[in-house]
Amino acid sequence: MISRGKSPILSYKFNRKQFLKYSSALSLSLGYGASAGPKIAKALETAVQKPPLLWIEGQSCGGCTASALNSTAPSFSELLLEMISLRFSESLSWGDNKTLFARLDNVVKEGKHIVIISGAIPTAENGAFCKVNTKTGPAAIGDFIKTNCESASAVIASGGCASNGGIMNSLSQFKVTPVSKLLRNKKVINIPGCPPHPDWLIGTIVSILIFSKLPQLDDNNRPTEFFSQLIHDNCPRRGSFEAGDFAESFNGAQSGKCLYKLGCKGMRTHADCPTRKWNQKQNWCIQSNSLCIGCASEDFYEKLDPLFSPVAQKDIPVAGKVKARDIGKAVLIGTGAGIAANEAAKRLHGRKTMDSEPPKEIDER
Amino acid sequence: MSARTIPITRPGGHLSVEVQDKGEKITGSRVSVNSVRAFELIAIGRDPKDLPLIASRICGRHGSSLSVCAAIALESALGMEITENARVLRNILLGLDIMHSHIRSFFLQMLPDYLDLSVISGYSGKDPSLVELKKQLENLVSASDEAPFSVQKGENKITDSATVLILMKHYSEALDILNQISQAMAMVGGKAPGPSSIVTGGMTIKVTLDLVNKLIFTTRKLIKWVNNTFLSDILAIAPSLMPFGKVGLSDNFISFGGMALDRLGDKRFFDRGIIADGDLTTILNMERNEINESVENSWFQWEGKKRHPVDGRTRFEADKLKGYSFTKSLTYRDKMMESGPLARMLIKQDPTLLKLSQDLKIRPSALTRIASHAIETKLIAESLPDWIIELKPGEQTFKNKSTPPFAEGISLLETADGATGMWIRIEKSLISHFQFISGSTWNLSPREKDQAGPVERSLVGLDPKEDLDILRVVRSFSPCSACSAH
Repeated sequence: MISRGKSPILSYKFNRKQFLKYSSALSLSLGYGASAGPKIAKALETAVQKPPLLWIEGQSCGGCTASALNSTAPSFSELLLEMISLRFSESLSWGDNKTLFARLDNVVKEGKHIVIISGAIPTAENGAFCKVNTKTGPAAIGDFIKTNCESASAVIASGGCASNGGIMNSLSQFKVTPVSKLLRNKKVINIPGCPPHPDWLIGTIVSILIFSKLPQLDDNNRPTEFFSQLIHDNCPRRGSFEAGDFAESFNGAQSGKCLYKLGCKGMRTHADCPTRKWNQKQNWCIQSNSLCIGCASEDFYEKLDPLFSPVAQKDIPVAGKVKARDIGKAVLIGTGAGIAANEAAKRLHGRKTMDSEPPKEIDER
Repeated sequence: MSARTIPITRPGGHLSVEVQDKGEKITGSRVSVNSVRAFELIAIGRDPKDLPLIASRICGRHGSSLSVCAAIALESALGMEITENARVLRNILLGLDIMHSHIRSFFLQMLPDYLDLSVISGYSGKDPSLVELKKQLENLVSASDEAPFSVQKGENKITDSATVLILMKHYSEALDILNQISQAMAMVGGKAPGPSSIVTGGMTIKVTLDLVNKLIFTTRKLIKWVNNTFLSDILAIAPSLMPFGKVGLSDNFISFGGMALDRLGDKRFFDRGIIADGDLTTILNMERNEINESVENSWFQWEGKKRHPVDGRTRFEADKLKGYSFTKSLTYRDKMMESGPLARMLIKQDPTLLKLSQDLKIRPSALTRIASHAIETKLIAESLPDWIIELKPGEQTFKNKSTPPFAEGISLLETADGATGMWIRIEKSLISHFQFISGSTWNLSPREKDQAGPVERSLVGLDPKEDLDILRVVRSFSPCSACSAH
């Protein structure tokens, strides 16, 4: 994967003097004689460089970058100073434009870099809706991505916009394309979310650095570590759902009731928010008594609107998709989950109007 | 006469400026926002209640404020008043958002322009944290691996090694502080960025003793850091900033006011008002009907007349030859206005800013604009504890009201980015009209007839060969292209 030394994190701390000493010792022990030292030092010098990272922003709101800054393990300053070499970022790079674009060209020429792409890629009207700065003036984002990803060792599409079009799918006029469809010969890692949790994005990069390979990915090329479970399945309010204790307004939600009737999209969204939580576990959408709006779902936002309308019955897991026969089997085996599922299914089927009728306006003060 | 296009990085967001010059001096410029996300179109036909949760996705840096702005617009359409707890929670959130935005703008975007990292080897002091940082940076430079930082000499850069290292340490601390502010924002807003708890009718978050405690102790740390670093860092780079008291000038300012300090909003943290033609002592009334948008030089269909946002239109014409930006040209009484922290501090007649301007004998300029970011951050940091203890644990934060089939709503609010407004119309219970303006729409406006936009105008007179100075002046506005072109 990354050819710059097996474990870049462990080797970055050498300075040049330490290097020369180390490489001389190395060359002697390898039987090359001391004169080979400088040559090996040169090779090692490349090795101790932190792996280069390019962050390319398309039709973006800057939210992915803002979220990444909230990383804690590692913190963003640790990441910059010690782990990666952020060679190109319109949001963060220092220095004049000449230096910036020269760095970009050098990285791309050498290859084996990591690229993060955030923001959508609108293809309509020859890319007129998002032109990025290049050394030769504004150019269509799609072309810029192709040029700078060809030689990369890993490409990460950060956020809903880059990984599946996200909220920018809501305007067909833009004709947005996911990064994976633009770079057909590359394996693009998708990190959805609007924005993604910093752990999802930075965690993926760090795991590439430590293990020198891509993390395990699902069918949508999302790291299974973060996106294999349904929010609904780990929701702390699942008990209220099973008990049919639904909030009719946000006042009800404040007493811990299930937000299903208010339109919660936890049933249609795969992400580990309930266990990971946000901003150093301070909070997350459902803990704040609000709905999961499904921002990590590939249906966000166009296919999830109106947000305040309950998930249609056919999309309710267990009750909608598992056949009654299977639920019955589970009951026979006697697992608690099976019984609960069967109960839930009965309850939900009993309420015929649930997926068509918006929640009643009742003030539960 | 010649012209040249300069990419504007930090903040990013596909901003560029074309400068025209006659020899030594810039005679005119054209600021372009080259990307657009069209939320004014995305919102059409949606359930109005979705808007606060979607408006936060207009901008990843200022989303919490935009979510609040959208909720206020809807509440005005529904003719409803929110609870006291909700008002206070929103003030706290808006305040934190402003602090976050200003700290990020100064430390991550402006400060790098003033530091000469090549001098750090000269540091012979004993401060262990600076020695460690020096070693770390030296190692990176010797491995030619200093990115994203850059070692470049330049005019008006700080060359005292200890000062550079201290400021560099603050750059790194600022990243942690931003993180802590986001944590406090998440306590109130659910998460940051992309808040969840701001809804039509109030806030979903419950006010508990635990929340009050957590907010108090998180903000205490923030206040301490702001007091010990932000203003003093501006002073530390003052020798480099002095020349910028004479350039990047502005004469017209607008503030929508905001952050109601009592139930009816008679008292506000930010004053509403106008400063016109450089008369800094006269604060005029702001008449909302005098706001208009022209798209003559933007990539939108131009029908030959300006429109008030209440019946504004968003129809793209991306290949329009005359166009050069996705930002519309925003005027107040036919004048281009500056918006943002400098405008707010001038209209609030902030004593610190007035004294600074008098002592240095300078007009509103790049220097006072940069300083306003620090002054305002300090003002807000000091007010936060007062707001937090206004919270009443156990009392309501949310009121329910159904969406009427037809209604119109408006919200004018100062956010971190500046004078932000939303105009919505509801027909058959769906959004039929949504127009949005923000502080950066004012500042990054392309020219309107013979008037240049505020950023465009501020560059006139600079040396066209000095990219660094041009970038410094543009960055003094902390421009936000996502908010501006939305």
